[in-house]
Amino acid sequence: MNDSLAMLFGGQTKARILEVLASRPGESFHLRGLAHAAGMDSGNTSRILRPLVRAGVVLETDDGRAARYALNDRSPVARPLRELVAAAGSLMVDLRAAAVGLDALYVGIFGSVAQGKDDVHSDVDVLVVGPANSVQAQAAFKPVGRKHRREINTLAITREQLAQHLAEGGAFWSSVATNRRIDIQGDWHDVAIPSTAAD
Amino acid sequence: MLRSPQQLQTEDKAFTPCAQDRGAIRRWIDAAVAKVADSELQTVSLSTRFEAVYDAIFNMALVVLNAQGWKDRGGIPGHHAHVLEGASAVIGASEGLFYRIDAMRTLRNQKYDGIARSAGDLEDARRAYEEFSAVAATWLQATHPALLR
Repeated sequence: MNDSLAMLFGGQTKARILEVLASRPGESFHLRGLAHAAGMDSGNTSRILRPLVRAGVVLETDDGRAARYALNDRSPVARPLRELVAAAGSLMVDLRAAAVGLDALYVGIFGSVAQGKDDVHSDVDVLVVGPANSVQAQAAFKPVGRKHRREINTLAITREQLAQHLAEGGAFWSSVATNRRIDIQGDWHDVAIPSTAAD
Repeated sequence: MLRSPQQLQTEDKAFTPCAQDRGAIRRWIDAAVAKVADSELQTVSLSTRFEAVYDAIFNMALVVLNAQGWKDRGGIPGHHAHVLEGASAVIGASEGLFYRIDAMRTLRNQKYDGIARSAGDLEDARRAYEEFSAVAATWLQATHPALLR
């Protein structure tokens, strides 16, 4: 999380949500997807969104199943907001940009950063699920680590390996599955299917 | 922008100046060749073969630094990273290539985490070695041909 954005927006929760919306032009999110991308729970995300929708900063649409949310490009603050988020040089924005080039079904942050317990020296733990191998995944995030002077540890596994780990239920993978994550590409629930259920 | 050995020396006290050593350069090159041969052994694990490729790259990086008159200060935190970055800067390797070999360093440091390397990791590591050693060999031939005789 970029501290300057949290200060400007009056808190990490709102800053994270606006950061996700402003850094992913052309995308809209279901409440759950937005909450996961911001590393928040759906309740808090909904509470933050309501006044933003009323103010016209966030656009709420209905896709026939549920509401979707996006930055309202007709709002006069949309463009400055995108520029502000980009200028803030947020770690999350840079991680998302780096993830775009990876051959991955899912990329997410777990550990202390996702749980908001990190400091400027904390390692950033990144899980990459998909065809990308470890060298490709680790190399993709090297420029981000260098820019932010943070060690970024990537863990690259295939969807099948993730399914097996989840089915085995070891302490590490249970922790990844149950603790807060920040989805930066893809949706955890689309890939986190234990192998017994997937068969 | 990759940092040169001089910059790394100034910023992190990563290196000390040293005399060129043709014998040491020969031994590092021989070690790199042997490590590449080790990486082709089908009887050992993919993780061991991956580490052999990393060692080959590291030996080639030491060759470059010595040819340029630098010795790494082993024992300081991050000295492998300094060697890879300084050597990459000297030979004019791209940042992308440096990030790939630095990624190999990070993965090598995770070898006690119980995570095995894949065939894809090994293949990418070999490709990175081939590119790095080709750029290094071109640079050595152009700038220090006498050291290779």
